[in-house]
Amino acid sequence: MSKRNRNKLHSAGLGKHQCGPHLDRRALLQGALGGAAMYALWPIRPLLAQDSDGHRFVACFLEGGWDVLLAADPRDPSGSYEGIDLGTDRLAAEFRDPRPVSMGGTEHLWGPTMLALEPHADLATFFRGINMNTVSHDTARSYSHTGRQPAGALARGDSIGTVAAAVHDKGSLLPNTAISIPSFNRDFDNRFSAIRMNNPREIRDLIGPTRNALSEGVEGLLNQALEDAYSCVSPAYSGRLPEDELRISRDRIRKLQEQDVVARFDFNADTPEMNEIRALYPIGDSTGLSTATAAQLLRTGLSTAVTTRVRGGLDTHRGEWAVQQPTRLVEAFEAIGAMITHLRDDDPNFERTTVMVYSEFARTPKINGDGGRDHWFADSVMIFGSTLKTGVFGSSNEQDLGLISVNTTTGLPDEAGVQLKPEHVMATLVQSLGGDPSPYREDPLSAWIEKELTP
Amino acid sequence: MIWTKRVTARFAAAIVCSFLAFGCSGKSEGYADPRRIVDPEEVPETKRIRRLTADQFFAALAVATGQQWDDAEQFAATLGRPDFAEVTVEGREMSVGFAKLAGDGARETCRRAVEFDRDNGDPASRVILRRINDMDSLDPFATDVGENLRYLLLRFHGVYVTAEDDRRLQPWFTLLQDGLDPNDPGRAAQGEERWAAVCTGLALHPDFLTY
Repeated sequence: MSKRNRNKLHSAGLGKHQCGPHLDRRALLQGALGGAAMYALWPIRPLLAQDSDGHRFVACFLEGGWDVLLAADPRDPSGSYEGIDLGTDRLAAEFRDPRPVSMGGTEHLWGPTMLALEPHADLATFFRGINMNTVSHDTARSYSHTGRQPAGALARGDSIGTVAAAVHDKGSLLPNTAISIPSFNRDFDNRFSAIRMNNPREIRDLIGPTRNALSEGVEGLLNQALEDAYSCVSPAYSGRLPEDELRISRDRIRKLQEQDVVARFDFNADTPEMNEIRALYPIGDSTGLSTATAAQLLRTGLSTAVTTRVRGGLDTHRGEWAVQQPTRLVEAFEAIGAMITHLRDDDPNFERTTVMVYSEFARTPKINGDGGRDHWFADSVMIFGSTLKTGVFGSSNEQDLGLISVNTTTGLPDEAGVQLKPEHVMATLVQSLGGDPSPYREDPLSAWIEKELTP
Repeated sequence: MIWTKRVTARFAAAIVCSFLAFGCSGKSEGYADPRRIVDPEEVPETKRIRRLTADQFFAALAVATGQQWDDAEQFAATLGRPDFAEVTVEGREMSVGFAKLAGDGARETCRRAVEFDRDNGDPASRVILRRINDMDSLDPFATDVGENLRYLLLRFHGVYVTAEDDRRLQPWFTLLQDGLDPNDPGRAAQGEERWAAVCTGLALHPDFLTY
């Protein structure tokens, strides 16, 4: 049975609750099967125990719709484009010129806001010209988080962080964490549903000591009372019993408190580790705080997958576009660049780390009457890792940032090819991570998978 | 596979372990629940038990303890309140985050509720210690402790318990009295904290957190 299937919801059996000793035929059969499974797993248990370093995953979301012409899909300002107004004269000098960067042995232009990511070009795969098929924020967010077309604005699939956690988690205390962002779990067990934080500062409330704690002895008795308390509602509960879920959560809280990892998130502390983090991240603003928290969640082993909203405020429809769009992108990329640097400390080649950077859609190639850019279909996604071939897959139309068809093997423009969709990107990423790409209903771009991880 | 003595022994041990595991999963006291045990698969989605939403939890805590949780608004989104911009679905997972924050909230409100009751001379307006007569000592072994526990079970869980030996009261008696000597004059010193613990436990019980 695949890992994905093993981690999928199994309500049958879990919901059984007996109020007295009860050993029916089904229980006997289950017991025998359980025994057989134990017997079968016995010899390989030491192997499982050795494989404790799971793959780590971070998804960084830039909210509001980013201007890909300033980021992952720029144009050379010396060229002329009939459908694109680069707005160069409105931008500060440092945001006018994209920079050539070598990716996978080929030179590609990177937007002028992405300087902080250039040291990590050796890990980068860009997908360009992705058809988001909507210019509605809500719909596009659900689509971009899950890689599956939503029903209206309602997500139908699983967040990519949920999938990554379900595939790779090896029993971490907070397998899937979402910071300032919604997370969806439709197909996997509850334990892979994201622990949501409204802002990154809340991590210290979640993993820190109990507030208003009773004395140690009474806390112990309270815990025992909750263990012993009989729930009247359980017999009708479908899925894992509420008392079981609460017991698991209490146990995890106790372990978190025993490990005393909260100090690893006290970014103002005067310790060597925190001094290093403050030197690396722009910790004074929310971008640095969210990415530093994401990195620490992975580095401490608390989480396997983290999804974080790194920066908002990119929905620049008016004249503020010229100043706010590039400066906010720079802030976001500096924080993400710092996080990648930090994560490369213990995984230099990202053999066990993947970072995805995305936004709900792009912005129009033409500048509107108010001096800003509106919403645009042709989006990009950036992935830093070792499971995909480095380079650029796909393309938007050179002249007007429109959608074009690309060859699924080379990623180059090809009229006989396909129009790239979020489903293609997610199916490819999920397959490379060792998950099941079938829910995306598009074939993964196999030629771009450098290696497939084993869950 | 070669069927050796070692393999046979291992197989036998596995089967014994599995039966032991099943034996431990049931309630050994043989409590006879008068209701029919419902197979989860038979329960329609709309009738399945659900965790309280964030706002339901805040309101339930305020009604049960008579105290507002000061940090409720701060943690509302983390506890699952949708913003109806990006998140349109109520979060109802019994997650680590929910268990931790609900625990913090329950402890804060329960401590305050017991303090409030202690300073309150009118039994009818007390919330947690309504059936306790001797408010000076709060003796965990006092004769009215059982009556107060039954009142609290009704208040928090809507369960009307008539007998003091009902098993549903037992964990709370233990929480109140365990480790204390009924003959020790100093036993009442922990009374206030023990009652706060009982209140906290009732507020973190699945019967309080689900409907």
